[in-house]
Parts: sequence; structure tokens; C-alpha cells
Amino acid sequence: MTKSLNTTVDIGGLRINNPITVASGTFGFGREYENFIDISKLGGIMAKGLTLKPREGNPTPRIAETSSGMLNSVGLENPGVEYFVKNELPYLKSKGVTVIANISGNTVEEYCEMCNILDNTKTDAIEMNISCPNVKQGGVAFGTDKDIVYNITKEVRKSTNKPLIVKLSPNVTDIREIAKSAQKGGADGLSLINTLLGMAVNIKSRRPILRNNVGGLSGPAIKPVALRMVWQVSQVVDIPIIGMGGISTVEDIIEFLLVGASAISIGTANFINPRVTTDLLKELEKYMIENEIKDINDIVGKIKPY
Amino acid sequence: MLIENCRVKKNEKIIEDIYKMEIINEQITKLGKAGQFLQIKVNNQDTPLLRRPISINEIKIDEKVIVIYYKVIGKGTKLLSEVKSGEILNVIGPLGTGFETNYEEKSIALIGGGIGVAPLIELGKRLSDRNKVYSYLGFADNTYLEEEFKKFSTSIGVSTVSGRVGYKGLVVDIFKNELIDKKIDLIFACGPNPMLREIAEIAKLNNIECQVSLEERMACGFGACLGCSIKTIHGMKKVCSDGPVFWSSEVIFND
Ligand SMILES: Cc1cc2nc3c(=O)[nH]c(=O)nc-3n(C[C@H](O)[C@H](O)[C@H](O)COP(=O)(O)OP(=O)(O)OC[C@H]3O[C@@H](n4cnc5c(N)ncnc54)[C@H](O)[C@@H]3O)c2cc1C
Ligand SMILES: Cc1cc2nc3c(=O)[nH]c(=O)nc-3n(C[C@H](O)[C@H](O)[C@H](O)COP(=O)(O)O)c2cc1C
Ligand code: FES
Repeated sequence: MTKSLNTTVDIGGLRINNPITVASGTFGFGREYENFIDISKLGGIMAKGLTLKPREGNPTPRIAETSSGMLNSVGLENPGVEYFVKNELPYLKSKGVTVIANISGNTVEEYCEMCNILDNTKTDAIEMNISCPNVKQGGVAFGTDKDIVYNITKEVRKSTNKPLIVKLSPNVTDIREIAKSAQKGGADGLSLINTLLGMAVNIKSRRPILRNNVGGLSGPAIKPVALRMVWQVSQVVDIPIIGMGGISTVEDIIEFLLVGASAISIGTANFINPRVTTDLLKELEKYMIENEIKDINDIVGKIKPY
Repeated sequence: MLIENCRVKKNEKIIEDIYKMEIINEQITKLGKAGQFLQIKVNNQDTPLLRRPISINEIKIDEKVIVIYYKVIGKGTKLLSEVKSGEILNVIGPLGTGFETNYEEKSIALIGGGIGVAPLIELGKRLSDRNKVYSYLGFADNTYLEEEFKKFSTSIGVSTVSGRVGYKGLVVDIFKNELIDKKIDLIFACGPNPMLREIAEIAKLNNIECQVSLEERMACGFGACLGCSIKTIHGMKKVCSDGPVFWSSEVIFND
């Protein structure tokens, strides 16, 4: 970045060089993108979602394309948190990457155990994905009940000294209530939004396209929902927000910052242009110069609503 | 792996809904191998959002041309069929591992079903220098590309489900009848999953080595999204980056 510009932002006690991070599950553990870009230039990498034990994920088809979007039912295929700590994290840290581990669990205990494991590592922060089904509560997603969100955040908070970012599911009635509960439970920051539950149908076979019947919608199609949610949440919490959902241009980034995100994540757009992150970083700098923005933080939340 | 803006040299219908496109790119022709594929963005819009995976069907090094054959089945391939010569397409490639081709003095069967015959052209060209290549091509109704296969094949078997050309039925049946006579000791296959599963079984029964090129729906094509993971005897593998070519003995086929 040009010297006179400040792009450093704070995402809950973690300072990152620029507000452009990559969304969990869309960037693997970074290696795949090294064929295309210098991954150390990113503000940070939200690593592929981890579970306590390795998971095979769902059967294929796991991908369905929709209008300006896509559905996925990968089902958290991952090698497990221990493998990540041993085989992926050291590599990413040796490259100078800021690493945010994304964790998913079926029980509060699983989340806490993963935090215990990650706490003694060089992981820079933890992003807690609470969109998973809560086994103990009969499969209701953790992230859809404000009391569960408060409790789980409070418990997980005790298991880690790392910055704790709670990633919110958009599949809820009022995201503000959930966000407030996460803040009250001790979250240092919030990520939103995760994918919206959706479906695609093949009318010839009369079957869903996804083998799992339903899946998570991402890409440009969800941007308006994501913007609305970031905007609503930014008015009721005072912890930093990482905004995401359909970002693929520098204008998209500015929109998210204006409605109150301190940083953003790019997800699906990486699949279409694996260089999108570093391209947008350059464009963001250009935008700042052209619009005489010296400090990127100056535009955060500067929307002028009616 | 490159991201390149490539000029389209030619894009023409060869039969019904099957098209042949020639794309110019020196780097990709140099790096590309039989069985690898490209991820093509068919326009510059948000819809269709994702790239389309299409095999590298033939490489013409001296012309710096990659030939692809594709069947129009939906929105993306329809748009691709409307691209004019001279237009630019954004392409990522070459992707995937490709076929293992380091063989000599083998009797090789190439078995293709539908548009799955296309990726076997470059392969056949490369293998036929030092091996005997027998081609088995299965179609639904109309046939295509037989002339290309004749250039390098010792013999060709053609089937159509409709019976319009060649044997009436499935190509696997022709192959089954000939595999002993022709002393086939290596199989390469590309086509719909049920066909590949059957070929894998035949290969196993007859103790023949067999490479299959698989298809899965892909979001990225370069190993990042895990959209294309399949079960193998060595655990989960990504069709896009660990494949699309696998030893048939490795793959655990879905029902
Ligand atoms: C490694 C690989 C190589 C391929 N090589 C060729 C080739 O050489 N020639 C050819 O004609 N086709 C090939 N295919 C299939 C081709 O990718 C699909 O026919 C094409 O993506 C369909 O796009 P569409 O928009 O027309 O269809 P739509 O049905 O509208 O596509 C919707 C979505 O489903 C995906 N999709 C649909 N059918 C398939 C399929 N069979 N395989 C993978 N994704 C699919 C599309 O990519 C898109 O994301 C290959 C597929 C793979 C995975
Ligand atoms: C293929 C795929 C896998 C994903 N896996 C995860 C995951 O493991 N953990 C998680 O918190 N979010 C996951 N997500 C959600 C993204 O991180 C992001 O929140 C969402 O896709 C919205 O951003 P986008 O529209 O830019 O993709 C996944 C998304 C996709 C498309
Ligand atoms: S298509 Fe994304 S990992 Fe294979």
C-alpha cells in the first residue's frame, strides 16, 4: 500500500494490514491459490471450516449453479483440527499469512476442545461458525437461537485467549438479536453472513440437483441480504464486523464498509477469478486515492440512511 | 495453471448439438496434456456465474491451438456455441492431472461414451506412436469424430443406442466381445458414470489396468471448493485436481 494511505483495520483485537480477507471454505488452506497470487498480501485467510474429527462431507453433486449465485452442500469436508495444526498452519505462518481458524462443532464441548487445541498455536484468531446443527438440542442450528448463541459464546470465550469472532447464520428471524447475544457472550467481532439455505431442482429427473437436497446459497445473489444484515447489526453492536456475501468488485467492498463492516471477506468470487483478492486490493488503493480517503476506517459506517 | 485471455480462432457446429472450438494460446498448448481440462468463463457476466469445465481434446502445438469439442446441454454451453471467431474467452488451465501415457507395446482400448469420446483424441494420438490403439465409441443416435479416431486406431467399434449407425446398443458390449481377441491390456475410458462403473468392473474381472476420466459438478476447478470430492480407496479425492483421471480400481462409484 502507498505510504500515505492507511488500510490497517482492527477486527476484534487483531490488526490486519488491509480489510480484504477470504471467506472460510472458499480458499482451502491457501495453497491452491499460490499458483495465482501472493497469499501473504491478504488481510487474512479464514481457513477451511474445521471440526474436531476429520469429516468426509456429503456425497456429490455438491454444487448447483443458480442465478448469479451457487449452492453448495460440501458438508464440512475437512481433515480435522489436529491435522490443520500440524500440517497446514505452520506452512501458512511461514509464509507470513494472518490465519483465522474457522471452527464448527456439534456440541459446546467440541467447540471448547477445538479452542483449547488452537490456543497453543500460532493461529491469529478464531472464527466460530455457529450455523451447524446442535446435536444436543435435537439438530437445531446453534446460530438460530439467541440464548444458545449467548451460552455457547460465553463458554467458548473461556476456552481461548485468541480474538474470538462469531460467524452468524442469515437463516434467522432477527439477526440483531443473535448479534447482541454473541456480543454479550464475549465475542470480539462478528462475521456475517454465512450462506442462505436454498434448493435447486432438475425438472427432467424431478430430483433436487444437490445430493443433499438443500444447500447454502452464496455469490452476488445474496449481496443485498448480506448488506442489509451488516447494516442492521452494525447499529446494535459495538464490536467490529467482517462483512461478506457476494463481494466481487471494489464497489461491493465500499458498500459493505459504508453499512458498517470494518473488514470484508471474499468467498465465491475466488472460484471465478482466483486473483480477485489481490486485484481488488490494488483497486481499493486506487479508489482511496481518487476519492481522497486517507484512512479506510474513515468510511466505515458512513452510510447516510433515510 | 494459468489464467489467460484467449482468442477464439474457430467455433463451429459439427453435428446437431456438438460444437468444435479452436482456442489460441501458446502457453496452454505447451503445458497441456491429454485428459487435462480448461475452466472457461463463457461471458463477462454474473450469469452464468461459474466457469465451465471442458476437456482439452486436441493440441496443435505448431498452430498454438487447443481444440475443444462440446455438447450444448444448458445455458453455459449454449452461450459458448454463440461465441464468434475473434472473440476473447477467459480460460484457466491446464487443470487436473491428465492421463498417464508412458506406455509402449501395449494393446490399448479407448472407450468413449457420448461427448466423452472427445478427450480420447489427444490421448490416442500420443499413445498410437508406440502402442496398438483400439477405439470404441458409443453414441445415442448421431455419431461424430470417427474420422479423427480412424487416423490413429488399429480398429474402431461404433455403437448407437438408436441403431442408426454401427452396433445397436451400448459400446461396452462391443468392447466386451473383443477384449480377449484383441488381447487388451490397458483401458482408457471417458463418458457417463454408469458406463465407467461397468468398465471398471470388466477391468477388475479381467485383471486389466484401467484409467477413467470422471465428471463432477465444479465450482472452482483447481482444488479450493471441495465441490468435486469423491470417495476412493485412498480417502476423499478431488476430481478437479487429483483427477479427473483416476485408476478405476481406486474409485468407489456412487449409486
Ligand atoms: C473435467 C470435465 C471435463 C469435461 N469435458 C467436457 C468436454 O470436453 N465436452 C463437453 O461437452 N462437456 C464436458 N464436460 C461437461 C461440461 O462441463 C458440462 O456439460 C457443462 O458444464 C454444462 O454446462 P451448461 O451451462 O451448458 O449446463 P447447465 O446444466 O445449465 O449447467 C449448470 C451447472 O451444472 C454444471 N454441469 C452440468 N452438467 C455437468 C457435467 N456433465 N459435468 C460437470 N458439470 C456439469 C455446469 O458446469 C454448471 O455449473 C466436462 C466436465 C468435466 C467435469
Ligand atoms: C463451497 C463453500 C464452502 C463453505 N464452507 C464454509 C465453512 O466451512 N465454514 C464457514 O463458516 N463458511 C463456509 N462457507 C460460507 C462462506 O465462508 C461465506 O460466508 C459465504 O459463501 C458468503 O460469501 P460469498 O457470497 O462471497 O461466497 C462456504 C461457502 C462456500 C461457497
Ligand atoms: S471443483 Fe473446486 S475443489 Fe474441485
